[in-house]
Amino acid sequence: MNRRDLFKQMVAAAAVTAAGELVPGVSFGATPKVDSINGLTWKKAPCRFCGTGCGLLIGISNNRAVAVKGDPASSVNKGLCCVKGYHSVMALYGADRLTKALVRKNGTLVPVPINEALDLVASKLKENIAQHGKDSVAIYGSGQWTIPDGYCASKLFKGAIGTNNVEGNARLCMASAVTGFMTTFGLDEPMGCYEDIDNADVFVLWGNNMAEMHPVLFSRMLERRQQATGTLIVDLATRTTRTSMAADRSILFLPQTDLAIANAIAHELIRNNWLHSTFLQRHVSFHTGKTNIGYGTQDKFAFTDEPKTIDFAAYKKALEEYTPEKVEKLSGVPAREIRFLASLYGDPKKRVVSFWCMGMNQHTRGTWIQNLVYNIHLLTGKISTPGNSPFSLTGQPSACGTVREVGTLTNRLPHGEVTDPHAREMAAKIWGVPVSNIAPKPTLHTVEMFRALDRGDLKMIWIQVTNPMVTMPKTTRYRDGLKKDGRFVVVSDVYPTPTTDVADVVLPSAMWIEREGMFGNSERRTQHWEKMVDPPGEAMSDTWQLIEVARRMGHGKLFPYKPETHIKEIWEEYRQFHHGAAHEMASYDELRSRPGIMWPYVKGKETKWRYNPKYDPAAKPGDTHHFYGKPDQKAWIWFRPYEPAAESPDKEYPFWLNTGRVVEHWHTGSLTRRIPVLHQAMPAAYVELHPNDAKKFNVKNGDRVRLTSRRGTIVLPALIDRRGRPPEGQVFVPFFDEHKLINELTLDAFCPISKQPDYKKCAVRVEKAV
Amino acid sequence: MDVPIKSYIVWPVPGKTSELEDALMEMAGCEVLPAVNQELLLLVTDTPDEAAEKALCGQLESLTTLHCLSLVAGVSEREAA
Repeated sequence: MNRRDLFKQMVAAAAVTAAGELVPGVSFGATPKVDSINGLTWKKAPCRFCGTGCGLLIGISNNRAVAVKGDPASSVNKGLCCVKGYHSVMALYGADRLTKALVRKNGTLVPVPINEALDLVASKLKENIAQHGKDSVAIYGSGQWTIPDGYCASKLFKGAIGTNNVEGNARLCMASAVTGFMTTFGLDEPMGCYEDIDNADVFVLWGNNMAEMHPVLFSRMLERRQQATGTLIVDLATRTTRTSMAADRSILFLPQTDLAIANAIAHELIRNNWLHSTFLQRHVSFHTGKTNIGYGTQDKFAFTDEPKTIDFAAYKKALEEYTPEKVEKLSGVPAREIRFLASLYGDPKKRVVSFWCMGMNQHTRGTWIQNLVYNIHLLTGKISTPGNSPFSLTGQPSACGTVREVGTLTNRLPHGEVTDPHAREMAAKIWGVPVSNIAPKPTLHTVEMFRALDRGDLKMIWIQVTNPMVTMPKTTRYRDGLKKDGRFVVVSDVYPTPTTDVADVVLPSAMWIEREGMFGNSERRTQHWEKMVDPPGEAMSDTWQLIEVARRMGHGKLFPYKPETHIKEIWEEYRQFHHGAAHEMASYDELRSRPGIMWPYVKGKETKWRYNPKYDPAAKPGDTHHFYGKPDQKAWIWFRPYEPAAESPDKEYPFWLNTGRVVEHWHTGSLTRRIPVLHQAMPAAYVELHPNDAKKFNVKNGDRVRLTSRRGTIVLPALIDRRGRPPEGQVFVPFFDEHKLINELTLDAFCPISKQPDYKKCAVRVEKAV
Repeated sequence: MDVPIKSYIVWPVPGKTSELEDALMEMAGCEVLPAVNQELLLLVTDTPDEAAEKALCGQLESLTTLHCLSLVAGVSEREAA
């Protein structure tokens, strides 16, 4: 086979996958196989888009990545890829790749040798710490940080400098998932794994457009339905999407009312006695917390919950007002549909997986809605067994591996919370720093970090692998803040972005397979890849940038790693934090040799279902479950009420605005917009309207529509019934387009517990633009 | 930028799948993969340069049995070189 034939097989395989996503069950007989050609070497890597963690094989020729195929040895995707995965290597070769460091001189970014830029970053950090204190500097990373990147960032800032000003953009995408897990189970990350898909009878998708956001998992779910007669997929959402089209049942609810729907399902489970009594008696305790908890829209907003233990009777009484009929009025979901959902969860013969992602996470009551969906699984005992799984999907390739497990959040350490003296002692011992170096209080979560920059409380920020000038809600305030005098902004990235536009120093980063690294995906799977090709110019991995700056600041003893072995050294140091049956991680050598390994990894065995003694070595044997994360050794059912969104449509701004992603683009599009095919397929952002609303405004496809919120205005082309369909009174806009910054309109309200902003609900006015 | 190898999902006019498949197979630079259980085709095009690709697109657009084309993937020797 020659190269040209290989490329033809690649694009044919991509089309087979895409067709499978668009037309469930379609079969093409002999599927094209992407074979080897002479001179091409194939190496394994996890895909660097989304949190699924598909295993890829990258074809390398002459120090260049030229081909991609799904890794059949990966249990995640079993050889499948989505359109982004198939084109992933092209993201390395955009024409405007950053290859040199840039420093702003007289208002203009000019190229300088990278050593000069690293010297400047180190001296500015030292200068600001000396003048304004250690909490005047911060680092803001990402769920696309590799595990070694995040670990070095945490060690430098929390261990060496002594500030908890460490955050990741995962605060914007999965912080509510973390606080949901922590408040219900006392430990983060899903109990189940993707094998749940192969065992479930029912899938309930809570505000989760998997067809576009997690297409490979969606394909696995469709395959399950094809193979197991009677398998049911229910799409419970605020907008009709490709997922709704493929689902067996599409149920639309009004924004924010998922809280009430979940309570109504619980109400029905109790009313019909569809409960798993033995499970409830042995493994569950009941709790409630503060209500009317606010939305965090004011600077320096603070909130601490006050959990109270209640009994089942009090929980049942609190649910009394959530009858299906009352909730129908609030949510727009017919009572019969709520009863139908309850009957699925309540049927002891059906195994149920609930999937969710941004719809539940980006929510001003994000923690609460996670608690409420866990409640449903706990009431019915449908948890931690194959096919019974409340499953929080992750948006980014290492939001779990880096941000959650390494703990690159202001409140976290690699093991435990900064407020926990034992966690600080452990970190101090492993890092080789005095325990007094590690600050005992969280400082700035992401929104407050950018507010502090605007106010001037924070003087310097180093941003790696993320593009906050596109992703921050209420972007205008934060962009203006970064531009103010007295702020110093360092950005490490691979392409120019609106965030590099406001930087004082730009460091060119080595991307993905241009360096060695590890990611951790949604199902607790750690995946290693080796360096396969050289980075361009002076581009350097984010890990090594951090090490170089640490050394220049005088912290070299804490970062003694050798260039050729630093990833192995860092991994073996880091995994000491997780020793023990509850979170043991595989060795570097084992990770190198396999497409991925799930933790807890004990005595050579992955743990597929946590809290189930049959599978989980940390769970005590002798019972069906052991929820060992909470002090009472139980999972917590929380009563959480419905509370309205921070901003709802009114006379002046009568439409809901929902934002999100599209299958062609990864987040802010800084990578995928440089892949010609993906860019051509989806070149610009748009606004989706319901056809009746379009008619009302006399708007046709492609007409210009102006959206205005209390924070900003934007003009976009209309898209009517081409991709998704919002209900009347709602509009949807994707956020991938840096030329159409929809986040200038969104509101920086957040869940008071998780501090994660709500990108799914604010109020806008809609007009036809002339 | 030239992208001479591309794949498409092809939606035929209902009832015209076989006719469309035959027409596509006769075109230079086209390979067709028909679905076995749906009225759907996959098309892989292989053209030497941008002009030839443009000409082929023109031919495709003139097919009355073709309802809609969705571009899925594309690659060029130049991109991969």
